[in-house]
Amino acid sequence: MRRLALAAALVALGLATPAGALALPLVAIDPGHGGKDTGARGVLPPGTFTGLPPRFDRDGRTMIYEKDVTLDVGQRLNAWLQARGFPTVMTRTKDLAGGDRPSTTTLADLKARTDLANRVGAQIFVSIHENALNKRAAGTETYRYYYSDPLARSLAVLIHQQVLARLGLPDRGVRTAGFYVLRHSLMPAVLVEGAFIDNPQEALLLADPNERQALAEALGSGIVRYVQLGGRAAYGPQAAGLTTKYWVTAGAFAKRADALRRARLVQRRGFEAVVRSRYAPRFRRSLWYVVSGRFAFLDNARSLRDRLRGRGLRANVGPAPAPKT
Amino acid sequence: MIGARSVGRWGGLSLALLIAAALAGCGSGGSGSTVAGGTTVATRPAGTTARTPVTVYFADSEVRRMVPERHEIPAGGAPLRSALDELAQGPQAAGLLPALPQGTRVLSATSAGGTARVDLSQEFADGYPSGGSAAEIAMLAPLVYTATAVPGIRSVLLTVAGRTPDLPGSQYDLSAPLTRRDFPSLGAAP
Repeated sequence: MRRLALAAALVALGLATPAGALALPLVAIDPGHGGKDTGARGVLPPGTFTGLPPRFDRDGRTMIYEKDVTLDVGQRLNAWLQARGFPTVMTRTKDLAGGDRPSTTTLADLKARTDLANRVGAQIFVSIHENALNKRAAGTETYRYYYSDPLARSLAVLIHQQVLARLGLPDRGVRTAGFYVLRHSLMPAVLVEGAFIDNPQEALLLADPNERQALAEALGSGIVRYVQLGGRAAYGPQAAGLTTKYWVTAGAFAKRADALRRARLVQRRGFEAVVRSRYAPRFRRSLWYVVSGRFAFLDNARSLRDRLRGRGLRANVGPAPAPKT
Repeated sequence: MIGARSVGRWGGLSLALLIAAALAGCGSGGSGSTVAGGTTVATRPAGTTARTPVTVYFADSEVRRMVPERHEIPAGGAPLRSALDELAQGPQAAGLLPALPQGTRVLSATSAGGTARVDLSQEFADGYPSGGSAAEIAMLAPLVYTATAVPGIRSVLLTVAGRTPDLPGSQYDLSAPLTRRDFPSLGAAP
């Protein structure tokens, strides 16, 4: 009966998918922080019920950790979206770093998150965070990448509006930033800072399971609106024009052995390197390229090129050939 | 002259606006005080030696804006190093947030090809926020805004005690240089 009501609701929303029509887009849910990285921390009145793992500081005060809130909200969003037919993937499902791996470095943690979303071809990326500053700052803010396309802009605005409406906190606006998960994801991506966990009032709100459910549903409603408004364009990185358009090469060689030797040198200097064969029109033959990275955004490619050059390596940015499928 | 502390009662935002207005209207500087809208904003007392202004940025108390402050420093120093040393000293006006954790020292600051390489002491990593975009932006944006206010500098590569720091909770890739675009447009003058 409930299922029927749900189907009716989806039809009303224009989301019903008759056989043969497009399935709903794959949503990557990214609960921020995890493992050794607690994220921001807030203090709660003694004995506050949270429904989250109990946390205390050295002085025995009751604490609330951002990593616990983001995972809980992520799981609630996951359930909410799946109940509406969305395929989903979570970048972590436990109190671990990105990809459910043990904590290593912060950068490896962030990379595991976008690598996962990019690998499975997610079409929407939502990173869940809670804010912190000086115990007084308050409100909700939503971030997108400064080069993001119109789809990512609308995703950010629509999610932001829903979260504002449900939580009723001050509006800190939709902002742009060069956060790792925004600049390295190939699909429209947003990072939502729902509330300030170090602000005592907002910490109490985040401690309330009902409010966390409201936050999760607000994120979900924003995604639903985005899919309704975006139409076909909302369904894929190709549609959004966000494929890996650029690659960074650290040398090209006639002989594969030379390319492999260079790749090892590049790796020893702390960079990634793989060897790929590609036809080079200028030389009218195939060459072996040492590829150190592929990017959707030109500024990321240029940044890697400059870092390679800074370590004394030859490096160039070029148009990437389509990846082999 | 009214000290910066007594200006604090005006509140963060109005103070920030006053300072922005004061700086916008301020000429070559060099005097001990600047008058803006009937309020006197203290700067460091001018010594007998020649002094020169540097622009140092700080976040307002809610990280809604980046506020430039003009600091008077002894003339003749390297502009980038001098500006960052002033940044480490913290804001002069109440209502602005310190940019670097207490005790952070600038170990070196050089520039090449438009990129500043700034090496900070371990206190920077020790005092880094464990999470929260606002807290992280309040720390990194003033550093990048201040360094890139020096002519010719467009980006900042940050190290701590000579190495790329691993800062748990950070949302940034610090192995690559940061630019002003990595931060929300916070209404700062260029």
